[in-house]
Amino acid sequence: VSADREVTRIVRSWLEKGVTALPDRVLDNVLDQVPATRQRRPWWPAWRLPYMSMQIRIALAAAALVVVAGGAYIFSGRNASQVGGPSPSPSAFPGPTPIDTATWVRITSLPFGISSEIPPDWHDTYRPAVSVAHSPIPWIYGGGAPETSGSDEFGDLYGAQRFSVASQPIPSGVDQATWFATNFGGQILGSCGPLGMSDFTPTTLAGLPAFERDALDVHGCGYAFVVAFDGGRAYELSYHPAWLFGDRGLLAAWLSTVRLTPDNAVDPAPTDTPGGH
Amino acid sequence: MDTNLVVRSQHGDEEAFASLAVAIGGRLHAVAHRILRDIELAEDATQQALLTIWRDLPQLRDPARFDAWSYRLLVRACYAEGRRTRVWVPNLRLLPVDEPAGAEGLSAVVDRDQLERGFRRLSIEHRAVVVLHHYADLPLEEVAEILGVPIGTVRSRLFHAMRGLRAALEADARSPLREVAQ
Repeated sequence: VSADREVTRIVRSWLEKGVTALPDRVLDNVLDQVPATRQRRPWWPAWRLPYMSMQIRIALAAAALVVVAGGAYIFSGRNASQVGGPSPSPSAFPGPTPIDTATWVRITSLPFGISSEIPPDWHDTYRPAVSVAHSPIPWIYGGGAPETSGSDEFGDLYGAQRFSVASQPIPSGVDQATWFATNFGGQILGSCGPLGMSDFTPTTLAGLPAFERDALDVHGCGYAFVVAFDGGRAYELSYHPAWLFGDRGLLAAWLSTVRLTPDNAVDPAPTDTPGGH
Repeated sequence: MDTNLVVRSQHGDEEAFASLAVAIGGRLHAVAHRILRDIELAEDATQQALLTIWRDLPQLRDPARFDAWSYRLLVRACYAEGRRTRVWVPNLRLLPVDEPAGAEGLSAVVDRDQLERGFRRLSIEHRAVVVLHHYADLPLEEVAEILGVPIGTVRSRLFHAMRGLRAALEADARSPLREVAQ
């Protein structure tokens, strides 16, 4: 314990040394850009609730309950009307509305070896990948990194809907279950996990066996994942709508355009650190 | 932090934001430099964070939480800068030496270069926890909030980071360093 305290003291002392002032030119750069940088206004009211009497609060709460209950009734009625309707789709992401992808644009996502088509007015580099992790360390959602730093994202003009793609090589000897445990067994976005392989349902992607997790309706998650393995790589594609439920038709249409080309993937060079391999 | 400056900046007051940037710039830069261990990357991260703060300030609901919020944006900028370099952090595990070194041995052989190397071996995520807790003096609960991860994850990262730094210090005392790549 005393050694730990000593290490803490040494580290704290070491951290104290170093720069503490921001150079003026950096500050000048920032302030020069401020007039041209438009502030993002929230779509929700930024104000706080003013003081309200208990009677008003109760009345507002009751009104909110009525609205929520009404919405739930309408939604459940819509679901009930679908019972016995369309035959089951081979995908767990059936599209309620067929979407024509004829005008979509094909893009190739390097270094992941994935190509897919997106609507023509979407951003193909909405948020490009800035890191690719070596397996078997946790990948896109691991390590508390920004959730999409390890994937390429494509999104609509408003960022209201996004597709995300990534892949990584799987070391020899690592089976699919182990890979799932490594990448989904811990804390992942929101309330989306942890997940095991059994939480995914079988499907197909680009003609290959794949696994899907439809959490679009899961409160606190709202995403859908598809995982496939090809050419010694693990692929993950996900759909991130900004609102609960999303558009499964859009997701299904996108997945139908996906092609996996593991031979084209470009992985970062292995570490050449002494002792590494 | 002067909440009035924050509120005025939220409403687009550029002069107020200039004062705010002057007030927080040094603090953010110091944290960024300690996380990234590179002066140019730290400047870029700080600049990006300040611009993001300006851009997203209207979305901050509670001006009293400005400090934690600004740290969150800074750490995100550090993550981005750290990864933009495409310098892959070796995934090293430092094995404990056969016999633990005593406190006296540690303090006698402190080598800043060795500590620097040990710190650079940590992932940016681990460094952020160490810096926010041991340099910015933030409690672990607040670090968890800033990083957007459970407090258990913060404790785990801190534990592993400090163990790695201790191993680096101990290895310094018992050359040669034993490193094993995972």
